[in-house]
Amino acid sequence: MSLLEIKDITVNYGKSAKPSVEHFSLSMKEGEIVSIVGESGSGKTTVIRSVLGLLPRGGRVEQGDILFQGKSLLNLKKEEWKSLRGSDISMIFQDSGAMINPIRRVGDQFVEYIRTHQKMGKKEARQRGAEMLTRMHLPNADNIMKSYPFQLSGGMRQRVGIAMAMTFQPKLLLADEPTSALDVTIQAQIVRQFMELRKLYHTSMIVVTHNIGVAAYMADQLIVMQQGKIVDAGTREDVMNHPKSDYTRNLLACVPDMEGKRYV
Amino acid sequence: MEKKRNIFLKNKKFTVYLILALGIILVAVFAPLIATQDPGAAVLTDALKAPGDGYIFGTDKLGRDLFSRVIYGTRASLPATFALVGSIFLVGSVLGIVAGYFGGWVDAVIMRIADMMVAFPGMVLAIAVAGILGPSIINAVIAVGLVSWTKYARMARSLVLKIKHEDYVEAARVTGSKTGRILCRYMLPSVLPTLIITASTDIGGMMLELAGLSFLGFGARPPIPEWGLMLSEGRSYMQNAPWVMIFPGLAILIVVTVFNLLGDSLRDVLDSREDS
Amino acid sequence: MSDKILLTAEHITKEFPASQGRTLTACNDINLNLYQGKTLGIVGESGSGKSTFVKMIVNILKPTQGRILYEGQDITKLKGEKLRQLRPKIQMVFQDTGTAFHPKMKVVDIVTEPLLNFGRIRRSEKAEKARELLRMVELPESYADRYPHSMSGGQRQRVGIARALALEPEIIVCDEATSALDVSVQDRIIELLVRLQREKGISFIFICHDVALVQSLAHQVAVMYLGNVVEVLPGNEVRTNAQHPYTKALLGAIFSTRMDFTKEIKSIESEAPSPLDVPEGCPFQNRCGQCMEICRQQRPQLMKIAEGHQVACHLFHGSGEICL
Repeated sequence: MSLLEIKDITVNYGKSAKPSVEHFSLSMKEGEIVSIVGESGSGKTTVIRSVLGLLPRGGRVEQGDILFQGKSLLNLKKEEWKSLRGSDISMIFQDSGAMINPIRRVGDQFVEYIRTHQKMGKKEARQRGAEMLTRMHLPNADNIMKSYPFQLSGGMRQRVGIAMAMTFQPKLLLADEPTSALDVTIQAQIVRQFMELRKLYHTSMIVVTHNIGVAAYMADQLIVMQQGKIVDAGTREDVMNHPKSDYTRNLLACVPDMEGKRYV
Repeated sequence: MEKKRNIFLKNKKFTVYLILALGIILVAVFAPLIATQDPGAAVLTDALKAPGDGYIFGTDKLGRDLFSRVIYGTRASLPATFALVGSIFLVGSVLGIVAGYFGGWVDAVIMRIADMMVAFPGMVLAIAVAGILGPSIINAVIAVGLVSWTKYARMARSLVLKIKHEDYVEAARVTGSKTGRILCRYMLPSVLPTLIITASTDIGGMMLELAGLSFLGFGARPPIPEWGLMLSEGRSYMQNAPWVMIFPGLAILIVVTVFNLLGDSLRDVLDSREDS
Repeated sequence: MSDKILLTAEHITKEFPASQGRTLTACNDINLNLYQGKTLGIVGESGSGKSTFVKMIVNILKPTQGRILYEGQDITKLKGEKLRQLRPKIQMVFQDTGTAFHPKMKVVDIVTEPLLNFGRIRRSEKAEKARELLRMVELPESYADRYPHSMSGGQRQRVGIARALALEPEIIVCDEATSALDVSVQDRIIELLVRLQREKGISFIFICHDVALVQSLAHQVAVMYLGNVVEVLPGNEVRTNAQHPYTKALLGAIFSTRMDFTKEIKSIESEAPSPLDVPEGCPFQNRCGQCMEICRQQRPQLMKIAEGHQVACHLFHGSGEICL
């Protein structure tokens, strides 16, 4: 059985005539990484938001179904979402710093996060948090627990975000442009981190990004979207080496590359 | 024209208060037509008559018609208030923009002067000014203005500081816009909405302050029909002839309330426009 | 590179006061040349000082030390009207197309404002000139009456380029001008810039954090790290001949569509120190795999190791001559 199955969904915001996602399907196994690439307005973020039931106001899945471990996610109650989010499915955003409250210490928020999902003493939760930070290769975990978010660099904040998302070893990790705000050397570190997590915990991931290089590097399955529709999908090798659509071919040609197109 | 009408239709509250405020201004303009008698004409035999036949609001201690005096009171209060708000708005925003944009010693000098001004309690300074220049409405305006412009300067300065380093302002410099043009075309429009809102909400408060000064005897001098002064004159007759204080007081209450509400609703109008 | 030098930055240092009496050195003794009709690419991560550096070139900031020579004069000393008269020569394209334009100005006013500032056209000629500029950046002429916020990012950036072109400058500085755009849009914008360079002989300074993009369009690439220029080399040699460990680290961290996906991506561990406490000696020491004793004590100077190729690294000490 596949871990996540998205069956031909169409997502619409408000009453607009054009859906932001049309006929999107995806099936992924445990431990698999799926990358969704596309330019702005392609609907890639909408896809993972609908998986986690986090569509902004007015957005809804009009057609199709989303099955997680065989169970539909579309009509879950608040309580059911609560037990699912954070523990079975969790999410990482472009800037995890924006997710954390800027005027509270990282540690306090981490502890609170752990305790909302699992009954645990404060001390124990703090220990668990620090341990997660260490596993994310953050040196001096205790120090970071005591820091305010603005005292951390973008890369460190992102690692804190990943640590939080991974605390309960979710089966599925959704990542929305997880490296786009980072410097290139840090981006490479974070990508490696993701690959390591997959190896260690066998976590499945859906990575949404506009960076085709990152997407391809991480992906087992690669999906290319344009204006709400899938224009190319398949294994990484299929899509990268034999793109079916002109759109993908053009996109690949436009990515700046050391061996690629030279303008002068 | 079509667009203008929409603004009024969309903001019904604002439209209502605007009409009321315009009404008050019209009262000031057409005071001679509305007033039943000459506000200065004293008929001592009719002194302190209760509201009733011939005198709608009654008469004061000199037998002057209160209704006419209250109506003429708009002529004393409104122009003084508008002049006051207008001048502190102008002086404050110009100095604030200049201080914020140029920074350095210009900023230091302007803002230190502003600091000095707020260090004075307003009323005390007003009393001092009245003491030096003699009590009159104009001097009351000067006195209140001296301490009030700083609010506008501060606000304009902080708004300018916020946008001074925005890309589009730097772009204007790089493309060779002259400083004057940057100030007028780029800085002014971005500070104006906030300052206009502040000014319109200030009208009520300023009117009260001017009336207060007149009440204390540092503003309008008799026999000018000014509401604060009328309150002060009527004070000693409050027991026997309460109408001498009630009607000028009501006038202040109504006018101040209308302008405050107008200011508030104007804020709603301008803010919602900025969002879209 | 034997071509004519158009602009020279000499020993440019910029310090900002920071809290607790410390100073932030955004640029530290930078020496760079810009050649006529060529592109100087500057690549570096956040905090490398590349944006601060170009702000001094366009005279929005003044350096703490050093000079910038253009046509024989030090332009950092210019003030008032003299500075304004220099403005037409050096123009700029900004990164964020959402903030680069006056929110209440139409495209026609935006692109002709520079010309009106210098009295080059009359108000009556505005519409016609705007259409001409829009044609130049391949936008429909009808866009003149639009507001930038009703246009896409790529279209807005074309307006930004049109504004920079209006005064027919010799130098255009692009500060991450394509970084916020989708790759296909980026490609077309770069094509446009390169075409303009060929036709008009404009010199570009192109700042970017993407070394792959920079090397593909720059004749000369300068790599900056924590306020220092660590390597300068011809754009077409970046791939094969980069020498500085930091440049190599940048190259190793590129996710390319042509890479071997089965090979693990290399990258240096740890993060750059805060620009507030750059270590003594080589700024890159704590992340460098080849760090030696001397790197902790002495800051390496730029050395010329080949024609058009300079490196600031102790590994190359003795293999070249010290520049300026």
